[in-house]
Amino acid sequence: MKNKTPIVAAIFALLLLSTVFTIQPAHAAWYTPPEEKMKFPMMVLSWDIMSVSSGEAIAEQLKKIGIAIEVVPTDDSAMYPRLDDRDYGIEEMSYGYGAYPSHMFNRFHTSQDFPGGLNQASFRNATVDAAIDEMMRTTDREKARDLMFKVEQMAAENVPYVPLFLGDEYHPFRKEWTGYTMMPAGPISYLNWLTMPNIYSTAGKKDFIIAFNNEPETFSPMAATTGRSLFYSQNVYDTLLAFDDKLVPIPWMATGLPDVSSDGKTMTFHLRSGLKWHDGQLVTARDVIFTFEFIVAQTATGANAGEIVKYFDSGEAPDDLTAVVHLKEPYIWAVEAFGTQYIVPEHIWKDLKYDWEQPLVQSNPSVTVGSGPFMFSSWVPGEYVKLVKNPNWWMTGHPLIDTLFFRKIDTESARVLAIQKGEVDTERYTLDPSMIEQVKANPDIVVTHVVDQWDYVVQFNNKSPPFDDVWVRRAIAYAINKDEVVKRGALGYGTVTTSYCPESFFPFWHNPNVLTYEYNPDKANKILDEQGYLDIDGDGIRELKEFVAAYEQKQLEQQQAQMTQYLTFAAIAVIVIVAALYFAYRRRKKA
Amino acid sequence: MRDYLVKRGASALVTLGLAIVLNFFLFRIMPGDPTRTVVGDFRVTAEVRKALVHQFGLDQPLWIQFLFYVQNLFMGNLGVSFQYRGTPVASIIFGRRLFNTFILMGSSISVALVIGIIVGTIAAWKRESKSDVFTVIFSLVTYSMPVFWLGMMIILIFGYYLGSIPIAGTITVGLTYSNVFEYAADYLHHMTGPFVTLTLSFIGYYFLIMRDSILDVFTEDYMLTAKAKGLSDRKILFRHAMRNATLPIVSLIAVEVTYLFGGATMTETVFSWYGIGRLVYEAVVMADYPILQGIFVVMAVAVIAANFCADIVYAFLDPRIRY
Repeated sequence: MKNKTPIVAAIFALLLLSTVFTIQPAHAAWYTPPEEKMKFPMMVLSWDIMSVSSGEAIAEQLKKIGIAIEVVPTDDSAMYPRLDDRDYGIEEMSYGYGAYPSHMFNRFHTSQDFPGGLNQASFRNATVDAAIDEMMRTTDREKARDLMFKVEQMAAENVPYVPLFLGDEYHPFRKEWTGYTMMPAGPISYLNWLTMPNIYSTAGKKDFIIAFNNEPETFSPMAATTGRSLFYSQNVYDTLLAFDDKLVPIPWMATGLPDVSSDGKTMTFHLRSGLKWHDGQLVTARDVIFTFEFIVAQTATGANAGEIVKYFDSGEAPDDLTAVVHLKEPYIWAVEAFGTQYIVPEHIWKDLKYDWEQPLVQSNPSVTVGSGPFMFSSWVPGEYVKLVKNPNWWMTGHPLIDTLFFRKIDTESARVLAIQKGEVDTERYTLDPSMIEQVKANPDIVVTHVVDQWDYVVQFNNKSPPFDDVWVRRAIAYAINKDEVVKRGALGYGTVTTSYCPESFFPFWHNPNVLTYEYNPDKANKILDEQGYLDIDGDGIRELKEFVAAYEQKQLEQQQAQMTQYLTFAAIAVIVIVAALYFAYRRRKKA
Repeated sequence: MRDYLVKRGASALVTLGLAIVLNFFLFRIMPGDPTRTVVGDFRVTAEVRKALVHQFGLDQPLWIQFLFYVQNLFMGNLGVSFQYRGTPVASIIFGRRLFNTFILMGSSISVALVIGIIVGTIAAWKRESKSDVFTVIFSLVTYSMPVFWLGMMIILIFGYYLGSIPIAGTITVGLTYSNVFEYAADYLHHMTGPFVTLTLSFIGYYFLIMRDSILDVFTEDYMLTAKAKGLSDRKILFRHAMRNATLPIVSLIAVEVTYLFGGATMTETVFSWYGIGRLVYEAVVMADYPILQGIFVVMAVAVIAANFCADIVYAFLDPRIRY
């Protein structure tokens, strides 16, 4: 056989097959703390231009105090796992707020510092833990607020992360639309229950089309974790309570806020009478209790599922309109967490998994039955989702539109063009900062403006040196010029945050008297100098404290060694000279 | 002939096998945690994530995962998607997306091919004339133009300013159709933008290759013979030159089959055309391995099959080819 190709091919194939047994998935650590210089890679979110630009501005500012930052735009799929594993030193991106400040527990409590936990800064402080624990267990809101104030103060003193700014929410609406509610996070968000039932067109149009960047990846409220699916859930399913424009709970399916027992472990919700599912059956308190039991039994992953799984003990429905919920222990935000959970019908969900597959809606439409203001009508994959008005909704006369469309349009420029042309009426998220002026100038469009829920922060891994030194964190906090970051990162469309519990979202919980770090690079330099982070080789980058100390120690040792050397040489020289003279003298005498 | 087919078939199968192995391991080498996709936002507990890892079999050693993968492949099971919560990959790929991409790419490649071949032939004949120079420049310009920019310009001018084509999607929102023709009309209306963009970007490629190939053929002896025989210009050009020059294009088409499945990601994004190209991009961003693997296997099978067919067609077209 003269032809060697089959042999070569076979060898090649064998080599490839051998990779089966030798390839290990890449799990090497990405970050190693530096040992000499204060030089760090800082991850920023690559698809979020605001994260990248803010990161660059911060890198420049920190250079002025002798810290070299290398901005590393990273994709979600690489960044989130690293954050989960605490495989980073410093990073910058945005985190969101909900309607109540449970983030103070999630971000600062030691129990939440585990791989995948939300305490990504690895902040561990026993005093803070104690305060948070007490706050979460109390039912007295005034007392809870005092404790929250303490937590905010301690957080400010320790600077686990540096809050930068809250983005602005600019929402474009075609001029004819009115009736939407302005609140933090915008007129169209999953915190805003009020807009969709109340919006209407002064030109008499009955179809409202929202441009989405992507379609909901699930229609199940029990599995919805992303903004697009939660918005769908909010329109098709109903909740016991909702939030008003000050993010205060208001009655929704329930006739009022629940009665809470004095020990805080029992909540009683009273339902409105006449509530109906989209298939005509009556909504009862039994459905409410079933929903909570279902979440716990299946460990669902939807929006409030974590809290419900943690606190729900049992429940009963003494009559059709009364739902009694028993908690394992009191929880300061139990009313909000349980009150804003989407309720599902027992007669349909008793046979379902919590994360049923998306195409099920086409073969078995009954899975989409909810009791919300809109009913699922049709879904053309990749094109649009069509919802129609629920004529039996408890708020009589509402919604004021007949049809709601979620239209998938992939690029922001196409969405903005579509709004300007009139093909869609608004978009799901805020306008890209670069387009705000242009869209505002269009006479057919109204652009609303309110604070958004995304807070950009510089986060430290508090366990990784030198970020475990509170003085380093404080120095960096003083060195950041937040106004400039807003200008560079968000083109000016943002509000500087100095608080870990911002007033715009949480006016009741916000502590106005905490330590804030005003822009003061001189003070930052002074702190680092005093702490021993000096630049010993004059390259503009400070060396780490230990290295500096070790360096000085080394210097001393080197000097000592040199001294010893000189002395030894001198001694040898003296001995040699004396010996030479002696022998010379002896020689002379002999001669 | 039979030997030729058997040899070609065997090498096709070996290639396919290698493609499957490579396909599987390439995605495992990527950094990134696939379960992140399933749990999306920050509100999920780590226990749930661990359960999901077990459910998707990601905690098994790699070679066991590979064996399961091959077994499933032969049963036609391409796995389930991470981001679409357990929806079978086969149903995601072989659905509307493939249909949309096929129609769009199929029509634009075909039209670009036909136009490119015919105009390329004529341009080669009229070499150095004004029309030849013009078409060459036109081809180079459209070929080197960024596809997404061309697409965005078309949307801006024809979609926004002139309003003659829609800005996004494959169909109009909320429209109900009384018959298939209305649906087809709406669909084709929406396809105009991406179709024109893609055709323009492909034309240059085929045109230039065809023109070069024909110029090459002109140097052959049989062209001189044909002219000496007194055949008309048209007969020489289309019956002798073009037929021989089309041979390289046949091999090209086999490679273009990749595009039929891969889609044109940028065009699909710009026009919000619900196709496979966009699926690949979304799956990459969300680290949805099963979808990516599924698409790549499908593409590998298609390309290898197409090349095999091209080999056979070649053998028929060109009597000189024997292996």
